[in-house]
Amino acid sequence: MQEFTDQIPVLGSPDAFFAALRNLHTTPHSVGDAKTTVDIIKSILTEADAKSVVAGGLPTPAKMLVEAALKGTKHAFAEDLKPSEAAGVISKADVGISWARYGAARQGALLEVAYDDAVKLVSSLPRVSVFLLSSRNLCPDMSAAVKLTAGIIRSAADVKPVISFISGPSKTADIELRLLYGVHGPHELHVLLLDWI
Amino acid sequence: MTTAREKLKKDVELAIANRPASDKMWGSMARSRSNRKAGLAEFGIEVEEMKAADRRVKAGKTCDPALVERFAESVRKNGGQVYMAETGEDAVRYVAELAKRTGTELIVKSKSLTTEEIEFNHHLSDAGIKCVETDLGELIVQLNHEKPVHLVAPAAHLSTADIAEIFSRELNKKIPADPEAILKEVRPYLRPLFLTAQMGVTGANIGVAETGTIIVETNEGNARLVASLPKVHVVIMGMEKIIESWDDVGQLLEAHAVSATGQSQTVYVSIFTQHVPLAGSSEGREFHVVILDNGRSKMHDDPSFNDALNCLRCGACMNICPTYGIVGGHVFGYLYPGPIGIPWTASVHGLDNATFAHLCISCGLCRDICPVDIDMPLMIAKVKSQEVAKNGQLRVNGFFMRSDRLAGLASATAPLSNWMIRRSLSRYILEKAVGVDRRRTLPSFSHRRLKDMLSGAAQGTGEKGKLVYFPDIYADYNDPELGYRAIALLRSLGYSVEVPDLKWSGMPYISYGDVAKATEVAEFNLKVLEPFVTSGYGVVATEPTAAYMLTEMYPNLVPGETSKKVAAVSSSFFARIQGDLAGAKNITAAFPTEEPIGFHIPCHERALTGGVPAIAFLERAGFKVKVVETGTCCGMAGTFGMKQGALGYDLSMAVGDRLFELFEESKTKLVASESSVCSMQITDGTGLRAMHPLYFVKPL
Repeated sequence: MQEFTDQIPVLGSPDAFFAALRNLHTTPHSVGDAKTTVDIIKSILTEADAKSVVAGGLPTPAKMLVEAALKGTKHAFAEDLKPSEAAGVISKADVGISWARYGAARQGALLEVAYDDAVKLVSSLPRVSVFLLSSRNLCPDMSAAVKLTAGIIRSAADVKPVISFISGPSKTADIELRLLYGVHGPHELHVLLLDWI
Repeated sequence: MTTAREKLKKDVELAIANRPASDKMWGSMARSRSNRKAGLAEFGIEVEEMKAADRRVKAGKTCDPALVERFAESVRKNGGQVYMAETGEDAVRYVAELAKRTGTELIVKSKSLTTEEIEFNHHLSDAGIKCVETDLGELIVQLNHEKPVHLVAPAAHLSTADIAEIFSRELNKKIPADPEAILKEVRPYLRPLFLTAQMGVTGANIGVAETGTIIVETNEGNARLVASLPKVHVVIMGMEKIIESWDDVGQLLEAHAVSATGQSQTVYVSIFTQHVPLAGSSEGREFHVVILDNGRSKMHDDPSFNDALNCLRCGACMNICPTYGIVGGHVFGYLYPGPIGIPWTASVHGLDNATFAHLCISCGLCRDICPVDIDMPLMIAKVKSQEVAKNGQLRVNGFFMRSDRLAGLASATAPLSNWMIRRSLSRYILEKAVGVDRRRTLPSFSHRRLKDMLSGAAQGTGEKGKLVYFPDIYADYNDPELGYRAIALLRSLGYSVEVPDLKWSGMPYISYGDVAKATEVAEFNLKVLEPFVTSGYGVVATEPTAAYMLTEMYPNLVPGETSKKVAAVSSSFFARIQGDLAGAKNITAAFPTEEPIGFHIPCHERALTGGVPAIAFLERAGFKVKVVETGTCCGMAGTFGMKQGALGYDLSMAVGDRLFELFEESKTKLVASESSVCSMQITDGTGLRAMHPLYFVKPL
C-alpha cells in the first residue's frame, strides 16, 4: 500500500488549486476535519442520488471515514471485489471514491497511482468521481508532479503502477467542437482537499 | 483514366462548391486557433521558448536505433512483449495472430493515428475480428465509413445533424440533432463493448526509454478503459514517439496539449509501464508493445525528410493552413492529413498518394505555428519536386517560375505590355495558352527601373548604419516608386543604402517544387550579399516574402555560415527602422484622416514581425490602425491566386472570401499591407484600395 502523505519540499497554493479546479469543471471542497469529510461525501451522494458506490485505493484513515459516510448505501471497495465481478460492479456504481496521491496546484491536476486496474476503474467508470487528497500532497505544478511520477516508476519494485493525471471530468469536443462532459467516464468530479490527514 | 492531379482538381471544385461544409471546417479551425492562443496566454507560455525546448527534446534524436532498442529493452525488463514491426503488414499480422491465440473476437481501441496509418481496423476485420473505435470522433467517422478529417478532431467536418443521423442509423432509432442527446446514446452503446472486449489497443503519445513507459493522452478517458478492462493490452506506436528520459516528459505534455487544444494538459494522461492485475488477478493479462517502423528508419536517414519525425501530432498546422480550412482533410490528406501529412504520406505511403502537396500555397504559416518549428514548407517543396519530376510540371507553374524574366520583358516593353494585360482578348489568350486566370487583376509594369530612379539621388550619411536594399521583382519592375520611397526614408534616417545586382527571391520555385532552382537563386544572392554583410551591412526588403526567404528559407536551402550570417542581419523594412521612429521628424501622413486604416498582415510578415512594426509606423504618421484578419492567409499566396481554376484563383478567392467579409464588416475604406500580392487580392476581393504603408506618408 502506498504512503498517504509525502515530504514535498514546496507545497502548492490551495487557492490556486481551487481556482484551477473550477476552471476545469471540477468542484473543490476544503475539508478541515474528519466529520466534515463524512458530511461532504454524504451530501455528494445525496445530490447524485447514488444507489451504489465504489471506492478504491484509499489509505486506512480515509477508508474508515468513507465507510462511515457510506453506511446505509450499497457500496463496495475495489480491493474486496473478485476478478470476475470487479468490472461489472464498478461499472454499475453511480459514484466512485478514490485517493489522489498528489495534486498539481497550478494546473488543477490530480495524480492517481494504481497498482491494480480495479482501483483505476473506480475513477473511470461511474458518472460521479470523488477524489480525496491530503493538503500535504499538493505540489506547486505539473512539473513537480511529473518529477514525483518519475520517482515512483523508477523506484517501483515488481509491480510498476499505472499512473494517471486527471484534470477534470471526461470531456469531448467531437461534436462541432462543443464541450460535452461524461462521454465515457465521470461527468462530475469532486475534489476534497483534506487538511486533517 | 483519371490522374491523381485531375482527381485533386475535381475534389477541390466540389469542396469549394459546398460552402456550408467549408464554412464548418473553416469555423472549427478558427476556434482551434483561438483556443491555442488563449491557452498560451493563460499559461504564460512563450512560443519561441516552447519551440526551442521541444526541439531540444526531439530534434536529432527521434528514431535513433539505439534509443529504440533501449526502450524495447526496458519494456521487456518490465515483463512486456515487444514486437518490432518493419511494415504495417507485419504489425497487423502480429496482432491478428495474437488475437487468434488469445481468443479475441472484439477489440476496443483508443485514438491512434498509427493504426490509421496501417489501416488496422480494415485488416483486422478481414481477419474476422471486430474493432471498435472508442474515441467519439473516431467512432463517428468509423460508423460513417470515412477517414478522420483532422488529427485531433476526426469528425470536424460533420454537423450535429449529420452525427445524429449516423447514430440513428447504427442504433436503429431516431436520435435528435442535439449534442447532449447524442452523448446520452454513446455511453450505453460503448460500455458493454468495453466490458466484453478481449483486447484493447492504444497508441502512444510518448514512450520513455529509461523506464519502458507508455504515455497516452486523452480528454475522454477512453484509453483508461481500453487499457484496463480487456485482458490483453496492445500498444501500437510509431518509433518516433520514443524519448530518452522522464526529464523531458513534462515539456512534451504541455506542448501537446496547448498546441492541440489550448489546454495546459489533457484531461487524462495515462501512464502505463505494465499491464497491472485486475482485482488481484493477472490471469491472461498480457502487455504487448508493437513498435512500428513503416518507413520511419528511411525518413530518419534522409536529411530532406527527417524533420517530419519530430511531429507531435498536435494538428496545429492543419488549424492554420488556409487551403486545408476550405477543403478539409479528406481532400488535403491521405491517411495523414494537412501540411505535415504531405511529407509523411510521401515517405510512408508513397509519392503517388501525396499529390495533395499541390494544395500547399507556401504561406509558411504551418512552420510558424508548429511547436517543434518543423520546416514543413521546404519539405513540401521537396515532395512537390519529386512529384513534378515524375509527372511533369504544369505549364502555368513553369510560366510563373519565369516571373523574373517575364517581368524584365514586360518592364522593357511597358506601356505596351500594360495595354496588353488590360485587354480582354489578350487575357483570354493568356488564360487558354498559359493558365493565368483572366479574372485576376494583374499588376502593371514600369518602364523605369528602380536603378534609373536612384541615379543622382541624395546619399545617406551612414551614421545609423549601412544597408543593402533588396527590391525583389515588385519594387524593381512593377513599382520602383515604392523602392525609391523606402530608400529615401532610410537615407533620411541616417542610413547609407546600396542596391546591388541581386536576383529575385525565388519563392515561386519553392511554391511549385523546383528546389534546385530555388537553391541556385539563393546561392547567387548569398554570394552577392556576403561581402556586404562581412563589411557590416544589414539587408532590408519591403516585400515580406523577400525578407522571409532571406531569413527563413535561404539558411535551409543553402546551409552554412554565409546563409546564417545573412539571415542574422536581414529584416523586413519596418522592423529595421522601428527603433528610429521616435526621433524621426519627417514621417507625416500623406492624407490625414480620422477614419481607421484597415491593416492586413501578410503571412510571411506574420512569421517575422506579426506586422507590429508597420502598424507602429502608420500610427507614428498619425493614422488609426485597425487590424482586419482571419488569423490565416488572404489566399493569394504569391502567384497561386493568379492561376486559372480550382487549383488557383477559385481556391484563392474561397480562402479570401472570409477575409473580404471581415473587411466589409470593419467599414474601413483604405487598406494598408506590406505585401504587393496581398494588396492585389484585397483590392480584387473588396474593391477597396490597398497600398503599402509607405504610400500613406508624404514622400521625401
